[in-house]
Amino acid sequence: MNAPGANEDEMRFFTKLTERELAGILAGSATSGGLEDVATFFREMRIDLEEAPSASVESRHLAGIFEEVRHLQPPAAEPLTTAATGSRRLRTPFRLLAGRATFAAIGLAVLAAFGGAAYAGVLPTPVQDKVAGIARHVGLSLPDKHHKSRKHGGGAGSGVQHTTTLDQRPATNLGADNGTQGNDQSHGTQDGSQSNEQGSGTEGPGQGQGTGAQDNGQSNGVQGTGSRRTGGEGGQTNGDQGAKTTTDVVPTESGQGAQNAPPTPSKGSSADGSQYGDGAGNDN
Amino acid sequence: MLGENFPGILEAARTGAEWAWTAIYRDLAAAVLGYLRAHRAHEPEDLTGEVFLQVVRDLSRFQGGEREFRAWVFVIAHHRLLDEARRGARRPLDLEPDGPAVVSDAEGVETQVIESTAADSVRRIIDRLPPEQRDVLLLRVIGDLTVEEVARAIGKSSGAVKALQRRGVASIRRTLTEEGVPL
Repeated sequence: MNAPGANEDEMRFFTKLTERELAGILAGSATSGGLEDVATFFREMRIDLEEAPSASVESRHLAGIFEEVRHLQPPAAEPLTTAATGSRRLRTPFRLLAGRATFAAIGLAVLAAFGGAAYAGVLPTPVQDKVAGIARHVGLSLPDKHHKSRKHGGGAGSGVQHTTTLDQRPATNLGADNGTQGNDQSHGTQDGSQSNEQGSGTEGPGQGQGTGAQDNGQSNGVQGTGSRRTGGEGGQTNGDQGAKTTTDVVPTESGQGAQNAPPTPSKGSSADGSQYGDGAGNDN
Repeated sequence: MLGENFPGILEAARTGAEWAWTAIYRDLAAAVLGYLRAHRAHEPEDLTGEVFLQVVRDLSRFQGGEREFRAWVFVIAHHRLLDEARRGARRPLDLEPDGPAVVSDAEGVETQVIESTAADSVRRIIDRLPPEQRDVLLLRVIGDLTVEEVARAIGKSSGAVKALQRRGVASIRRTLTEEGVPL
């Protein structure tokens, strides 16, 4: 079209045109100078190309424009048109849902915290009893202050769980208190060897934890300390069982000893000894 | 053209009045769409919609009268075309859908030209213009921009724009004369 060998005369001709004349040609209004055909071309070009969008395209574009306008306008300046009202109507249910979701989340959080505390047995006694009672109805077993001894009061061998009868602590804490529990169980019921066995059960990694002081204080205090190395077999046997019930309990040398040790009949007076223990289930 | 109503319409559009945006759209949409069609935009309708959305977003930065507003809208459309070209989505400027761009056989050319309608002829002639000449002529004719406004839109001097439009007009005249394009 615009070949390098374009007619120089033609170019000279167009160079001589004034801007006004050229603007007339582009506007399609030239009527002289042999440029009518060019002016006609530009007039046709305008007619041909300036075709309004179809109705569907226009409505789609306008909807997008209105949406963008609403999005950009601050809420105070938002005109109260039908469309704007509609958008508020659309938003309202989402706000309600968001509020309900918030309440539900809070409720779940409270339930989880309360349930965890109930499961751990750290709720106040009356509350714990009630919760445990309710839970029993639905088949859940939660620590219950009144039923605790029946559930967790193991023999001496359980080693882990007996202390709760004395210090009212939940079974879940027992893993840390192994040393003390053994002592408690042996309290007054067995010879030193039994109590020592349980104490030794806690000598495993991280089990000593010095908690023996608490329970020892309640029971007889002496047995816990004095008996660790002399642990008797019966207690160890039970210690194995106790380890099964408590995650904190790690098999220790006493546990191994327990395998070799003959089971020692329980001399304890605990009625709960029937559950776990064969051994010194002598909580109280 | 909105004429003397334009200032009021523009102010109403700034406050979000939908009737004002409808008036602006109906005044300019056909020209913008034609400009994009002439450039063989891939989806000229969609691109037109994007142009007006950009106008809505940037209206707070605009100052001026109706002429400046029109020029501003076409600058946005031009930039949208450039963006599309960069993305590679623009349809190549060949004439395959409508016919071969270059036909060596003079008789074939004559036959095609005779058979084509005036509208097709217009588009073919535009397609065969060099890109810079096409940009200038379309902005001048469809966008109704002045030489200075076109210069700002395409980033060239006014003198360069004047030269380009003269060459473009000369090329079109030569084509019309040599090929006898019916209009």
